[in-house]
Amino acid sequence: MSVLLDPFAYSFMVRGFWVATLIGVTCGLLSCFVILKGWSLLGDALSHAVVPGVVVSHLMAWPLVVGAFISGMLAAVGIGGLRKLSGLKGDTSIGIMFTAFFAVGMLLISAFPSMLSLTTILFGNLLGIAPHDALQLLVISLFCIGVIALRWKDLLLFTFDEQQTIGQGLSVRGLQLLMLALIALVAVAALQAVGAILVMAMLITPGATAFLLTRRFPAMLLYAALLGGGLAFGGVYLSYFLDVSAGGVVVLLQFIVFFPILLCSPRGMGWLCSARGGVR
Amino acid sequence: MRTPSLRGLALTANNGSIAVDIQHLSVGYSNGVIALDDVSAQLPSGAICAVLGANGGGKSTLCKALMGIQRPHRGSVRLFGGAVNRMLKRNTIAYVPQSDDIDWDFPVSVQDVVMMGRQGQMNWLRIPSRDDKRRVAQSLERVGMQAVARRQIGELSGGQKKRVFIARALAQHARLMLLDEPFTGVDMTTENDLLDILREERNAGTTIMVVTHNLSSVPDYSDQVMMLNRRVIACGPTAHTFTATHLGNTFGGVVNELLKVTGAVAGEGNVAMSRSQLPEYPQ
Repeated sequence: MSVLLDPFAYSFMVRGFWVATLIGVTCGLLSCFVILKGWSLLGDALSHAVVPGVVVSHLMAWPLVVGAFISGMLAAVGIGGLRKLSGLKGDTSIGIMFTAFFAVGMLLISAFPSMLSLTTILFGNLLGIAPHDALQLLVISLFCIGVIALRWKDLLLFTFDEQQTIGQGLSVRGLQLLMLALIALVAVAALQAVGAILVMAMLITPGATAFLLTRRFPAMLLYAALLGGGLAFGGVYLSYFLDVSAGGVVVLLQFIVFFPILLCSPRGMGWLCSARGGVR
Repeated sequence: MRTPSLRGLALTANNGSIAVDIQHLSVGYSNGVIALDDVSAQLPSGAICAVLGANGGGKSTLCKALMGIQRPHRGSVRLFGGAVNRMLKRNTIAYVPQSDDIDWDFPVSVQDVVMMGRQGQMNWLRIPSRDDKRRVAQSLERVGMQAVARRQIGELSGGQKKRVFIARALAQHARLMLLDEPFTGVDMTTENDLLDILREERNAGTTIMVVTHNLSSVPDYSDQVMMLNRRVIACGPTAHTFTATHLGNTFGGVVNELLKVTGAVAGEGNVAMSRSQLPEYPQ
């Protein structure tokens, strides 16, 4: 029995647990807006575009979030500007910009090899997070959760219907910036946990699963937060016994939960499970 | 017998102020397309105005200019005497979108959507007041949707989908109601109910703009028409403006051909068209 409690005996594991859970909850909440807005690719782009900022922060001994946030927002502005100037499709502009940013990040890492390992950036290091970094993640997560708690109705209106947002006298540009800023912040946090490659999953899968479970937005937020947090916790726990990368297990768990729900949900392929048959 | 359009005309004449004032408006896109070219028009307040034009005639661009989404290259738009961006902050436009523009899988209920018509007027935390709830309930009742208020919006029929967004505009209670193709994909009952509601709103002093390429019943409901084909072809009271010549210039050869087929007077420009003479404009 005591074997099952083993992971909680180590301080780095305990820290890993609460950091992962907190990031999971934050990502889960934000993922609801990201998937409904159709910003999945943009979320992925920002999670890669923060990389040069992370490296520069390391070099300058700034808090990671400062540089990461700046480079994330620069990329967002760049994507918007490129699209406007060139008339290229949105996903093309996103593709051009975020790969360029990510390439700069890789260049910087290889130019200053001792500072930060590429592996950490790409795959995260949930169990190796230092106490002061953990504190930073705590602040970022609580800030994002607070903003969503206070502004979710405006963000929801912006996500659902931009023209109505304008008609209500609200600033579409302001809400757009707010959402981009939240994504950039959460991306830095999640990057340290699961790495740049898997941030995308944290920002999409919990919301997608929750979408299949309910037709009410507040319920969707709740489910996504529970899924994001619970599966992050579960993933770290399992990774201890399996002795594999925590980030990998977290994301794989999310997919393992998503799939049966897809099969049974009335929105997904519910007709497979429903006795009445047929999708409404 | 007085026709509906003449009744509308009388009402318009009683109400002097200008709701929408468009001066030399030109809008072009980065791909070189000029959507609106030197458009000037004035729409009186407290009237129903039909904005007619073929696809690509600049209707959507005009909507965007009215909502401040599309910056004009030249010229200006003023709403009730104020600049667009300033007036938008003062609950001036209630916009009813095309059904195609809405994500019907979105996890919101009918009631949630109608409540979005109140959001800009709520407190900072967007908690609905008793007044907000009352207006939402009233609006739902006016469009006959109370029974399905808790349904997710994707679970509605085509007509009901339209009614939700009309209810949202009613709940917003703005001075100008802007409807984008409100009659597309709508059955006769819904169309008639909708027209009754628009007339009630007009009589209560709301200015209404119906943007459409659907010519049927235009003379029945509109006091004013504005015809767009990049430029303003005509703008004025329906009785004088809704003529075969103007329609021909607005919609090009298609309507002229259809007019010949239906045996209508294509050549005489001074005769306002009645409903029976109108062809369905092909989409």
